[in-house]
Amino acid sequence: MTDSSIVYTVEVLHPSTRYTLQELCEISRLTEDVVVKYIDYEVIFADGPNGIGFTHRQLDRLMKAYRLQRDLEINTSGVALVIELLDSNQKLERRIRQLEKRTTLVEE
Amino acid sequence: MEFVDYYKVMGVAEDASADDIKRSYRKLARKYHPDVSKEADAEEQFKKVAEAYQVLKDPDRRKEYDDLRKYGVGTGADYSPPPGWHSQAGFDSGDFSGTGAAGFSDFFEELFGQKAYAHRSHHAESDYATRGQDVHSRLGITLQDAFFGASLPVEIGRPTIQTDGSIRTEHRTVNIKIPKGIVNGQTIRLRGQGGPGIGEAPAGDLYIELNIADDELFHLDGKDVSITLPIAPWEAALGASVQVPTLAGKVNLTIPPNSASGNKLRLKGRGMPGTPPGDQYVMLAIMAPAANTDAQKELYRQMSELWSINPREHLGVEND
Repeated sequence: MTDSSIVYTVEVLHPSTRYTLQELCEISRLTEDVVVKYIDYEVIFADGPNGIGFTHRQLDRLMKAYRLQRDLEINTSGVALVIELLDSNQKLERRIRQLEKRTTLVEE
Repeated sequence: MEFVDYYKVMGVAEDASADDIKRSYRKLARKYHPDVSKEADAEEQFKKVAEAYQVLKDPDRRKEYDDLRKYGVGTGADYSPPPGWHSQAGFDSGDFSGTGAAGFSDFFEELFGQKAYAHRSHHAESDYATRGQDVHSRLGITLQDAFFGASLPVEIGRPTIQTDGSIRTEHRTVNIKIPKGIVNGQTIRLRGQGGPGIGEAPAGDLYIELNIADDELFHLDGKDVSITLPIAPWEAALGASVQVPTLAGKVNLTIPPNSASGNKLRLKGRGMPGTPPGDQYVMLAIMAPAANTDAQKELYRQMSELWSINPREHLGVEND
């Protein structure tokens, strides 16, 4: 069922949108202790100008880390490693796709 | 509704020990967790597994489920719980393990969810007020939609409070206006489209992460796009003016004389819109035409004499 009469206007969260630590806690519904622990383990970091404030990318990472920790029963240090590996995996996959497009594989 | 066989979902026997169930959960969770899995239907699969685990890991809930299961399995799509059924074990949403907006199945909600739980709950009568839950989801869009902007139908799973005080996920399709110039991974927010607030509190927001699908021609990197442009050897050597596709249509590009494969040319401002807009990079790839006729073969022979080069010099090998 499509209610085509309603068109939702969206708010784009630009790379320039910044959250404070309190806002991060509010949106993620995690306690400050939990969020600070993720900061200590460098799962997330203040990536605003001059190292002040968190971008939406950090909120995504925070939620992902929390879900992984909760659902896969891994400790914070393990989650930090998983997030790091996922990041590098994603970069490599992108690079591979880029190269694959450029190369025609010749097999002998 | 259909009776869901949680033992089958978890791939364990009905007399499996708590340890076996835990082990099976860990294995399946690693395989299907939407944040790490590459499986096509990971989210759906993970939800099933998480739901089954919520029931089977709790001895009280498992016992209740086992009692229902004796009569439930094999009833097909027509299953309904015995009249007057109320779960005593209930379900505390604090250990909710689903990851998306859609929550658990109707089957689960009916047996252990907030509807079953509502009979024992007094929350609804109190003055307790809290802001609704924010809902996070993802949406795949094409590069063209990202470039031009689009109005797209999107299915939203929105938790809604029913008249009896229980919470159900309602699915509906709405049109969402995607502004032009979206960058891959960018998130949009729809205020008030998340979970309902409790009491007087406002509803939560819906966050949608936009993922731009790979395009056949264009490769996207932030706001820049790149494309591989095949050119003929004479175009590379002598220079040429050729047509190049861009996201906004075709443009003419001047290829400087003596260009080589892998050389990158930049079309300034021809990438994704923005202030400033991204650029389009054109990577040259020289296509050597096949020599089919005698005349073509002869020309190649003449070329080999005119250019006595060793293209593999940097590899430390010599021409025969």
